[in-house]
Amino acid sequence: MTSSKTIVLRSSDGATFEVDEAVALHSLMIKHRIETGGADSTTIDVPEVTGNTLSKVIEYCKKHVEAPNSDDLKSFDTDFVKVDQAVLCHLAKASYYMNIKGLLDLSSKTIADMFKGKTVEQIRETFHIKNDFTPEEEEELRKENSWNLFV
Amino acid sequence: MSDSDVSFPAGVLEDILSGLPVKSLLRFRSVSKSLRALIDSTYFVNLHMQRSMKTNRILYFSGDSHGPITLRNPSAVTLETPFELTAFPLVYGSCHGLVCLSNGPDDLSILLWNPSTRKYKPIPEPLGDEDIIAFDQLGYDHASNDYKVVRLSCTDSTMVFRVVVYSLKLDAWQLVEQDFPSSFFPVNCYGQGVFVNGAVHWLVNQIPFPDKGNLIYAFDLATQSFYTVPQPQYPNNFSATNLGKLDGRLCVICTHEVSNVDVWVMCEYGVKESWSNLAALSMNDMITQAPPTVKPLIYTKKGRDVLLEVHKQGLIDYDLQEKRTIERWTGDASRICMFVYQESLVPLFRNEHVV
Repeated sequence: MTSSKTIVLRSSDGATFEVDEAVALHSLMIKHRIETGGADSTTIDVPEVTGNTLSKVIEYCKKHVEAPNSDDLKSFDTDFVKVDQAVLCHLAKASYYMNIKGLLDLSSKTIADMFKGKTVEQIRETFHIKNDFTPEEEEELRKENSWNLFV
Repeated sequence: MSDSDVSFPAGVLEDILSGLPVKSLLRFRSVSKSLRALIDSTYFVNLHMQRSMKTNRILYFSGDSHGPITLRNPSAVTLETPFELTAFPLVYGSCHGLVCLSNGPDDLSILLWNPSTRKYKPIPEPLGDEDIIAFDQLGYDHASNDYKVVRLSCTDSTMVFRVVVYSLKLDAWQLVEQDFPSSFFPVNCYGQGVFVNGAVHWLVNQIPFPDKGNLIYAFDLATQSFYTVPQPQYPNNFSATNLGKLDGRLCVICTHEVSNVDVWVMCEYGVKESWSNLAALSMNDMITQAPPTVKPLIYTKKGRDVLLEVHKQGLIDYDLQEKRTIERWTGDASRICMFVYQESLVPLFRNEHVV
């Protein structure tokens, strides 16, 4: 008798998600945990990821495991990353921690495309990066880059 | 952690940044000190380069002056050079985003240029005897992680060649003692070499020619020694006239029946049986010099077509499956020089950005 085993994933904020083992194994981090954790590992903690993000990650894994050859996979991926910036960043981080290459590549590329069009100030705002250059240093950088007109 | 915390683990940030064009990365050096340190790091420059090597771009110079674009083909672009060109430039290789060029055939002084970062560095002349003929080519020495210009040159009318190598790291030339197996003279277009598989290759005629036929000589940058590469088994009436490079593979260009040009590509480096006929072109209606020659540039349409430069004249789009020319473009200018390059952050100076 073959039963599809299920795994429970628990996010940082205590939310639990029951998924088919095959879907969970799409994350190489979880695969490793299961393989090294012994027979009792039916609940796996994912403290680096919140419930909101984890549920999206699971949605991605489900689609890619259950229908990897479907014609609409490409459009699924395109629509999947049509989310706001913060969600996208969380997806990228989650896919990095959970070792899901496909999702990491997809979200990284989408973020990269967003980066391309942003000014230096917008990058700082979006990613909460502090400007630690002195005004003199900033002036030098501006001069160096004067040919690169898009400020 | 909460949903509003958007700081990235380093691995993710690198993944994102390494896919960005150089222009964006140079701007983002101004975001913060740590981002600047990351982008300037050797580690990141290499990471970015590995990725951008997969995208080939065509750069070209056209006209008698450094005039405007006259060639209408979306794959090719022209960039303003940050240095002054006093003559029509000759390009001596393009490697990891660096380009080696000189101001015309009479000017033996050369410089290195990174078209993406716009940095350039004139290369000092080698000391000692004046070269009367010199054939230069840029390459990368993986053993010492150094960019080198290999110069095959002779200083007098005896036509005995010597090898001098310029190292970017040392910013100096070095004579490399060589015992050539026989007298020779480089054949390919302006005698320029082709850098493939860690070595600079020249097509040479052995003297006396044609008794002794021609050879492909390769100079390995890491071992600093010469070896020969087997040529394709072509029909008797084919005559090899030039070497080329396509997607990292060595090519031989040969002519037959006066105006036919064939391009062969060595699919597996060093394996004679892996030479394969890539394109067979009839050059009847294109005005070229004799012998007619082409230079393979890049694959397009996901490998279905190949773009070739017709020496100094224009471009040909050739369908590899149907084995025929699809389209030709000629520039309005009397001269065109095209080459393939990739974007990179590779610096030309130590501490390139330190003010």
